[in-house]
Amino acid sequence: MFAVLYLPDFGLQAVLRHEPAVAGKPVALVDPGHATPRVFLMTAAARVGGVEMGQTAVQAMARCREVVIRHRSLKQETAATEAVLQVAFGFSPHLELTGPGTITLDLRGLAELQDTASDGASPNPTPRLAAWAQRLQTVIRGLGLQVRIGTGPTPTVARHAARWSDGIELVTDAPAFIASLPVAALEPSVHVASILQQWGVRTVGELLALGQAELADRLGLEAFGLFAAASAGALRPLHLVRPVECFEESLELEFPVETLEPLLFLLRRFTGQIGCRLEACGFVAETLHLTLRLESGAVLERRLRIPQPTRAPDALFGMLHTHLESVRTDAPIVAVGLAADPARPEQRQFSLFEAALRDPNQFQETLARLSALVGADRVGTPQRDASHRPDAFKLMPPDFENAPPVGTVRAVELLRPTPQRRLRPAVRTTVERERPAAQGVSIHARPVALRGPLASGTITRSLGPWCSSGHWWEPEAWSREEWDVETQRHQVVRLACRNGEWTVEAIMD
Amino acid sequence: MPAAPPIVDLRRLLAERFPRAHAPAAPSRPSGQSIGIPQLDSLLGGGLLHGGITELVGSGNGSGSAQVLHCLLRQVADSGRFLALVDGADSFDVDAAEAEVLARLLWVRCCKTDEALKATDLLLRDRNIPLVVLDLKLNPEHELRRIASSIWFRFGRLVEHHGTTLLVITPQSMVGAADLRVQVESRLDLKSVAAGPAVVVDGLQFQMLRAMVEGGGNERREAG
Repeated sequence: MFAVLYLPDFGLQAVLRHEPAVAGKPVALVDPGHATPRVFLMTAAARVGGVEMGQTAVQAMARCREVVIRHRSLKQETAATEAVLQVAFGFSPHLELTGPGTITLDLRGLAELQDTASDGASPNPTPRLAAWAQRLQTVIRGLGLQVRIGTGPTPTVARHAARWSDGIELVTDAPAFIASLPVAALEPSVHVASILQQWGVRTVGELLALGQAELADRLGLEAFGLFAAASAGALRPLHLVRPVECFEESLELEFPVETLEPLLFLLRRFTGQIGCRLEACGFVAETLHLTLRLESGAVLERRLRIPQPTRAPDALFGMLHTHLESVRTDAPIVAVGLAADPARPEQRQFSLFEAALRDPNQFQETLARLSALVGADRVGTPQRDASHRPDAFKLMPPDFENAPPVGTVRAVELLRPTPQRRLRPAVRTTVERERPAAQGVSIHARPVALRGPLASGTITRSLGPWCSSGHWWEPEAWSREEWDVETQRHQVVRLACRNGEWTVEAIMD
Repeated sequence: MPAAPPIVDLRRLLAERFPRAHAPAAPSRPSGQSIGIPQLDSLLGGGLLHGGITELVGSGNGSGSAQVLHCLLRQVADSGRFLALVDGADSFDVDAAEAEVLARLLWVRCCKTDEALKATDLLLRDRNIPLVVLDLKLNPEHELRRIASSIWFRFGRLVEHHGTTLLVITPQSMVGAADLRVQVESRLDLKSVAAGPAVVVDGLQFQMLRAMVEGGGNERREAG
């Protein structure tokens, strides 16, 4: 048993699948590759409006004022083909790309369609096959493409069934079905078609009744081709293809986009279709690559890591939405692209007492919102630098599930400093040092008074100095002197002196 | 006489919106996150209120609120959990915490009070973080005065519905929707700094300002 997926007006569908706004409108497709682009595909509404094949765009617009002219896009056709192949691969691993918009599937050996009756009787497989075809059609419609599906005992019969059906055609009696087809189904040449019309031959059955030898005597070698095309039993090996594991959607915009809303509308479709394709292949997305091409020619690329790989369109879209809310571009956007790196879904068994994030994707989205609110460099898990410099740290993305076990490297309690409240930035202050009786002011003389916005007055107690320095071998060498002091008003602060300049770095609390 | 249908509907609506207020009296408050300071834990009846707001008032200099924050962080890390700290004035002392403790901290460094409130709102809605600390101790008083009381009630609704624990550190009593309010009233001096954090924590003194009465469901006692 074989099945054929036939996408009518494939070039037109490929261009319009990201433009639901023009659905139902008269649309004509011209090929910009020719010197004078002419209409070669059109929607039914355009046909009703008077547009004809071979007209130039100007002629088509003269005939039908509302007609929307679109250029053929080989890139979009390739993307649509890949999308359908990926989806079809989830239904049968044996695929052939028979032609543009035509894919043949070998259904032999599919367990889903196998006879499960144990008594050896031959149950009717049609309901199972119909359900299978219905599911496939629904999934492909999710990609924004209309498809006709035909099944039959040979690829040829299945192809005829797909091309001449309205939706799904399951052929059980192949000779009778073939005989009922119009002669045009065999795609005869114009000359032979006119001869057959003059003879009054309308259907394939009438043609076959004439006999192959007799017909060949009168029509020549083409008669053999017609009989081969009408054969209900000829099997041929399929040229199997394997879909690439590339999940990408892109669109060149007709008009530059300046606001977020239309962009989100597009990305909603992209995430839905990519999610659909990933699901068909059994993948999840672990990274999203967003590409925005600007009118100025600049390209904005963003890579979004998904903490908990998923193919849920809402989760993917939520990440993009949050990210784009903080994106500002210098010029309008003329092209959008979205690609997902596929990964196998992770199966993980949580332990009973493990504290894990309930929804890592939601958490990632919240982090993105927090970054947009306070700045990307102000949200995260602190990690101290490998330096003795006070208050030297960097913020890393939180990774609670892989946090080191507690208690393994805990410092000795006596060595742990007393927590204070840091002032960032440190507040400049004026400090008066103790004057030794003898020779002038010592460099490490004890501070005796300070005056500043946070604390001021006579210093009653002080601890220090603690001198530290580092990176003396580099241009950003640092050296400092620290004192913990208590004023007469019982304010306990940490003073730091760098290059003779005093600051209050922390207060005791 | 049976109650009129509108009153029944109203009661049902209120019960849905404020489930804890209309719940039958519980034998005791739900046990919360221990802070790791015995005197404070016993005062709070085990720790921070689960699904409620606890306000820690640390007025004046050297009150000890930063010590409480670090003790809580260590305790949370010890229990293998994690917390989010919304640092209203970017004053968290990274040097005073160990690396494995810091690994369980999500630190949001804010510059203004409204930033901190928005960040807290986002975290409470996220539902991934079981414990959120909002530290407003060093935020300017004029910014704190502008906080609408409705914000605290909104936070209260969020933590109640999501089962989150929220600790707010303030320089003065200001969280109207707080289920528990404790004042830390220590006067830390240089001698205690030199003695080390363990001695400092032992010397902290706390006073309960507001608490839910045990077993009383929704009754509250105000003090101070």
